[in-house]
Amino acid sequence: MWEAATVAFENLLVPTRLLYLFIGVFMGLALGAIPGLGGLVGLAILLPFTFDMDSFEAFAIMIGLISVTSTSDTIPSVLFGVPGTSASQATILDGHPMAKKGEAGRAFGGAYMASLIGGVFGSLVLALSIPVLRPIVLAFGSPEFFMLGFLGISMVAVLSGNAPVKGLIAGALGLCVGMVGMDPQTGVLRWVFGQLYLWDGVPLVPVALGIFAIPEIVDLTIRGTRIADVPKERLVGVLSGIRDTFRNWFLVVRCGVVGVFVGAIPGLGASVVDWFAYGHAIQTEKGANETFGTGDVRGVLAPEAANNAKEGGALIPTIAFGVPGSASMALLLGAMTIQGLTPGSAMLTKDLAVTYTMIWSLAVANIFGTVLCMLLTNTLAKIAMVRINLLTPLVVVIVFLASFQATRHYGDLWSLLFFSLLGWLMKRFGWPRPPLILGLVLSGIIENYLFISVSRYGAAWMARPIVMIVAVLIVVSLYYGVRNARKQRELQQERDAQVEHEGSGDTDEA
Amino acid sequence: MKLRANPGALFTVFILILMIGLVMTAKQWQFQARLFPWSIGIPTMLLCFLQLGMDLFRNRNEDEDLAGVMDLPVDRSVPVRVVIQRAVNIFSWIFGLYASIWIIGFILSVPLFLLLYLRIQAGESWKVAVTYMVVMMVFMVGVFEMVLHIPWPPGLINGPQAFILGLVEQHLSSLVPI
Repeated sequence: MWEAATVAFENLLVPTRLLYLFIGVFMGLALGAIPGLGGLVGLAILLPFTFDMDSFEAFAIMIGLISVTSTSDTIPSVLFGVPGTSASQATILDGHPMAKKGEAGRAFGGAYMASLIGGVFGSLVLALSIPVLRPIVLAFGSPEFFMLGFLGISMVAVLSGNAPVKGLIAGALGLCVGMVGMDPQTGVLRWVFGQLYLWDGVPLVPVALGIFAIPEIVDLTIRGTRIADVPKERLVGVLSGIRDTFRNWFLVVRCGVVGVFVGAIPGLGASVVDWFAYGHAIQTEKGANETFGTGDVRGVLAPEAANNAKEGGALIPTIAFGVPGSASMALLLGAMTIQGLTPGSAMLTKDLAVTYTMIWSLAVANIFGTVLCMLLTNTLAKIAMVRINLLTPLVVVIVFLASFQATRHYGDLWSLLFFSLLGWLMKRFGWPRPPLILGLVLSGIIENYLFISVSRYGAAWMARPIVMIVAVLIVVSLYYGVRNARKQRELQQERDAQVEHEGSGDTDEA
Repeated sequence: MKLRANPGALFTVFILILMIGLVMTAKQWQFQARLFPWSIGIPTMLLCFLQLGMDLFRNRNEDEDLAGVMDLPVDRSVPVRVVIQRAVNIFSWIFGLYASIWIIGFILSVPLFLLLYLRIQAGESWKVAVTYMVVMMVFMVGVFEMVLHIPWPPGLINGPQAFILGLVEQHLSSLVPI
């Protein structure tokens, strides 16, 4: 295993691969700094360009991109009070007040160093988990992997929004989209509507771009104005922020652990990881109740360490079990299949070098990302201020070109248009989109596992102990998802009632 | 419980019709081929009915504000009428780009789209629009034509695109020996 890790590191040191990693990091930093766009959009655009790369290059650029969006997303959060991505919402609470007090440089210094430690910590946990996971994964057969696929979709479906039924339908819709094309077992053409283009199925790239990239840019255009306002001062005090990180090293490590765990649970991830870490910091840090929310640097360190550590955690179920916990991990899984890799036991045995290259890429990307952020904060802040009118046509054109790379057929553009409309409507009507992508990516894989399970074990596959345990987990996750949604809805109603009551009170007084 | 008007229900109906269509068409396939589609499609149809019921009878549409846990939340400060107007506008540009690609091909449509969008929609100056267009054109020809050798699909009127690609082939292809 140590040997595989060494070989992987040597693989990554090849100049072209380092260059791809660097390009990925740079793209990730730029996308993270632009509120409204994020790693997912970048990953969807990047995916078709990895077709001609070898697997080391492909994962270097993709992991480079997703590792650092959580580093640069701090810039708009601190300077403008607008989250760069959903993972940096909690950073605003103390980061923005710090900027208002003239301590933006200190906030950045602390955030970048905490992000670096969190990111490297996440990759370390991922590396250490491989020897532990290997015997477990090798004990799994097709029935277990089939059930794990369903567990992943159901967890993401019920947790990715406040509407578990919509999440489940979206996941099922993704599974159905994944079934389009020639059935590999029987040769039956499913839902191809006489189109030769659909015989090989709907390609992932136009669907991902349509579901995520176009709706985001449409919404940014609808909002109309420039995304953020101009910062007023140059940044000072970065070094003092770095010192703060080391002074609070135990908090940073604890939040790194929180990040890894949240990242590893399908359905949680980016939008909640920062809040979990922030909540943990409030509960455990001395005097936090009085100072958090007013510009306490610990309120910046906690979410930033966690949101970079989550990628390491999210890669664990993706690589080891083929269960992506989020839409970006689903795209990474899609890239694995495009590269001819099978997630699961193969990634921990014969393709171990690729797995370790991903881990090294994660660690090195975090280092690159932090150094670049330290050097380029002012420039990245200007990217966040780009006029949306200039960004929209550029993104639309790149999305069209990227989409056309899928199969280089007009059908790719038709798919893009259809899924763009669908994605935008889903976003507007509150339908979670990640389950759809997860369903699409996992559809072929889990149908294949189902086919093998039924042909090999008959109905007896359902009686296997791990299958039954996973089935119970699915039921439990659905139950808690529905219960949680109901609770949130009741809370919302209470809040509304309170607001109405206060409103009527005001009217009476008037 | 009171029935209430909800545009979100129309979207649910669309998904429901889609699922019914998918399940019905799978009926003619042999058992093995329809096993997975039916195992997914039939329960999903039932879930669609459940969702439709919630859309039509629930007191307020809480899901719409709280759904995007994995995304950035939707900005609902813009009035619905303006949202629809702007969405139709931007989607018209996107569909227009597709139509243009279909008629005159990628190579001409992309710069034309950039120029027109920046001038008409964004109100940018000629200087900005032309610079943007030229940079994008160089990027497209450089990366996609000369490095990636993309086989651009012919448009209905293919003469101009073929002429430009011919020029690139004749004069620039020797610059990138990949």
